[in-house]
Amino acid sequence: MNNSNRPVRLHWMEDYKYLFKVVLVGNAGVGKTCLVRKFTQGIFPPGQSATIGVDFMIKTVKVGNDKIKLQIWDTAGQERFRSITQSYYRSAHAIVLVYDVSCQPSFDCLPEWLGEIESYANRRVLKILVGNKVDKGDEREVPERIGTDFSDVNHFDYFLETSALDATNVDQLFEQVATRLTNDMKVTDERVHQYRADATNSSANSSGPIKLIDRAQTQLNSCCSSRQ
Amino acid sequence: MPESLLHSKFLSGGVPAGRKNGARKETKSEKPAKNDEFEFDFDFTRKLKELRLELEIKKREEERIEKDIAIILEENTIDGGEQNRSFGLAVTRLNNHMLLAENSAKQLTSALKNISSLADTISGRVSALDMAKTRVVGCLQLAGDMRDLGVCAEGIDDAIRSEDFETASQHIHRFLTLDQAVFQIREFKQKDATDSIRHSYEVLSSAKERLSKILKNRLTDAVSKEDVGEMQRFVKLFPMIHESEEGLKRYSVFLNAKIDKLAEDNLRIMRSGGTDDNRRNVLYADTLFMFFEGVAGIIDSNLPVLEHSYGMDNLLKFVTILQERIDEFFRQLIEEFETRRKIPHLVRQVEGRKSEESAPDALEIDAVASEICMMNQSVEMYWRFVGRRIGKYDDSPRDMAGEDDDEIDAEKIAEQQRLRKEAKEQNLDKLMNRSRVGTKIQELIGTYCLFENFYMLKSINLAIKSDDKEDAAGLTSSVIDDVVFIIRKSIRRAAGSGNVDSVGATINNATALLDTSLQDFFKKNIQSGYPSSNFASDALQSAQTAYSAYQQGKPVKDSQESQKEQFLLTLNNAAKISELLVDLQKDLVTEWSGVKRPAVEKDKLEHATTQIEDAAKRLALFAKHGVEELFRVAFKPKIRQGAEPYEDIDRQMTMQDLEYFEAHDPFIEQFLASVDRLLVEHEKILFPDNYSTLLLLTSSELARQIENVLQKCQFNRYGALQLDREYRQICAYLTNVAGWNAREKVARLGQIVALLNVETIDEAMDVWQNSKTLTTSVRTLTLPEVKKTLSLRADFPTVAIKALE
Repeated sequence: MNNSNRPVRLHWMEDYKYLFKVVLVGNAGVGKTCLVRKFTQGIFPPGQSATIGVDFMIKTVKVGNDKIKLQIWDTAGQERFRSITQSYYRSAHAIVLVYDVSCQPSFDCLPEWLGEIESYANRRVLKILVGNKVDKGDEREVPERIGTDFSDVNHFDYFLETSALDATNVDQLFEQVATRLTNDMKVTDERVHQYRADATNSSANSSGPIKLIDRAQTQLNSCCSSRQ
Repeated sequence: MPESLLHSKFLSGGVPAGRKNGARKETKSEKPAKNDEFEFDFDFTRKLKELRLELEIKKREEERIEKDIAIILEENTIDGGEQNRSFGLAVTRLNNHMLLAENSAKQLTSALKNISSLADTISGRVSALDMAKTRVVGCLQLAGDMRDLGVCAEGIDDAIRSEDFETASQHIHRFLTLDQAVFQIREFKQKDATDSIRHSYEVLSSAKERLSKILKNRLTDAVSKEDVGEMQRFVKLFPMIHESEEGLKRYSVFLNAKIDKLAEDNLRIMRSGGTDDNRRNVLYADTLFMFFEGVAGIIDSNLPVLEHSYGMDNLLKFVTILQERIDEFFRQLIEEFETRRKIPHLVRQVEGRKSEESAPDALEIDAVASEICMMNQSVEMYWRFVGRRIGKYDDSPRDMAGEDDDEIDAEKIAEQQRLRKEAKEQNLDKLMNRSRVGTKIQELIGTYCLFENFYMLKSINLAIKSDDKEDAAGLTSSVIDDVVFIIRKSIRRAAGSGNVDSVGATINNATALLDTSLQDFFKKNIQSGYPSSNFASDALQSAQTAYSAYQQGKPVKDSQESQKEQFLLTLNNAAKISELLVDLQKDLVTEWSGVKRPAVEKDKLEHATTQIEDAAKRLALFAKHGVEELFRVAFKPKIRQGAEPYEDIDRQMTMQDLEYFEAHDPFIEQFLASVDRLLVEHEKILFPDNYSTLLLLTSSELARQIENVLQKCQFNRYGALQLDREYRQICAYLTNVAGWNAREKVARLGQIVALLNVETIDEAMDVWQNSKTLTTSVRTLTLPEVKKTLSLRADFPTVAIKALE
């Protein structure tokens, strides 16, 4: 534990354009931890025991020319950690809901998870559905078609099937998350700049209290993530 | 005198040795000359004379040259002939020596050949000896082993008979650790040797069985008789006969009985209501604490015995065996706790908190939350205790094998240790996180997070409801301190539980409440905006107030006034709480920096605390937007109004005007005084952060308005000078009230003023170029802007300005 003595705030000060929080949820044993490990460390940990509480990893990716920092929260799927994991929903920029294609019950629980997302997460959070363990071939219980349909019906922003074991789509999953969030953020940034320009150019007749709050809200949403 | 002798000899011979040829030639050339004389008999006399003379001359010359040569030789050579002779001698001598050396070399070669073959033989013999020695050592070892075996076999029965089990176990231990080779000797043909070995082997095998049986019985007896001395005596012996598992199992029966007793006692005390009425609300946590203290005591008093004879690696196994009973106690305790404290009921209420009436009392939740935290603390304490005892943190390599192990061995050992450590960590994780105590406490912590969130929600709502501006002179109200107090309390409590995830969750929930409940409250208060106070609305307002006062028969506060107050109070609250939250974050960071934790946990906490900072930033931004609104309503129109008279002053002035204005300021002093009045009025009602925001807004607005009005004027050189004077006054004033930050806000105006204060257009261009290189933070004017500015100088030709590039 050599790094335990480093300055407390060091890694917030590194040079990156945006920092996004990504939260992985889903039933216990669908492979959330393995997905995260595969992506952040390139390893598939065999015999991974169930996550306790939440785990968290950081990885920087590039979107175009921008350095994007992904802060990935890997939550425990077991029921007893629910109230801890729920508290992470609200500040998440993206929620990745994972099920196991070889385990029908994990797919059947998706509506329950969606309910959680709806009640705790930000309305505009990026929702991504992932069917993991496609390497299991014959043992598959949930066809890709079913996953796609579920994703469409429930307005997920993106759906894909992955395998942490053979690395299928793992990098793509997180790159998609980073790219989509970055693009969204750039749009918001532009809008904020527009607001600022409006505020300085126009005179008294423009804004009112309602608009004031809106503007504050817009900036709140952007400022929490675009630290540079 | 060999040298002089040598020379005289050369000289007497007429011709020196090195000149024989030359002398011969000379004599030859003489003969034909004489022949000529006889055959023709011409008058050669003269010729002859001449020739003789010449010869004479030549001879002398030769002599002289000879002499010269002799001298030169004398000078340069050292002993010619002598040297040659001695050289010859030397060569011969050398030759002889060489022959000698050659002979010797040949002898040496043969000698070496001899030696090498000898060495070969010797090394062969040595290696043979070495092998022999190894075998002898092996034999000795074997013989020793066999002798030991014999001794063991002889001694074992006596030892068992005389109940000297320590010796007996030692015998068996020796027997069990003997080299397997000893027993292979049984296969040999030599009858008497193998017989004795076989005999010993059989004796010892049966003795081991017997001893094992005896030890087990004795230990069981001792356990049932609770004879600690006996127990410890026997339990030590089990590893010697390679049955540590048995020993641990039997011994832990005893310890488990102790734990059960401890559990029973504690549960009895708990059910009777505890020993201290003041601690009734933490009865279960106290019980758990006492129990774990007891367990730790039991383990502590027995571990040294075990550690000595069983080794570190078996300790975890031992603790895991004990865990079963601890789990059982914990199950009973939690069952009791959950029914008595109505946990499931509370959880249902908290989860379905939509119906406010049935929601539980925040105080009740508060107490239960604290108790759960204390429970978790006890559990964590116990885990830490176990971790320390079984050497989780002790990475120092123990019992390193022999001293002369080379690198490969060291690597192997390191690898083994790593694997052992990993296995140990895995087992420890299994114990801590997957045992009943582990999972149940995780579940409880989940409940705790739920409760803590509810407690914060309830308390913050209460704080909002009972918000009161206690101190009339104060800028902020009670809600701020209350909210920060609640959050601080909750986060501290979560931290006190020792569970990092619960801290993270609590901070997440706290910032969520700040962003929702508190900000909603703030927003509601400034929803109607900051009331503008123009004359007409003032009159209407006071009329309305008077009317309602009359109607209701009691004095009503001017609603506009209260709206204003409300607005300002909210702004100040937002700014203040932002500051308090930043302080809270810093406090927490320093508080937690002293605790040693794994890196992941540190990262989690670090992330959690930055969330507080983010929430603070959002509140500060909220305050800033509020101030902007206030500024828009109360400042902007007045500043614009104040700047308007500027255009009434003729800016194409004379020297005299300029001098007159120096004493009788036409505009700027009054303008700044009116701004100052506005600011002073607000300074005392705004929180410092908000006031400085206001100052900066004022600074930039002031600059913008002046810029606007001067666009409407036409300047000559003196007019520009007057403008410069005014600009300096603005700068001085703003720096005075708002500090250096304000200077940045008027930098653009400064550029315009500088551009106007020039003699020629060329100079203006220089000024512009300079400003480009000098200013860093402020955008410089663009070319069109420069042109527009310069066109304000009435005395500059429009064509020249248009031509600028």
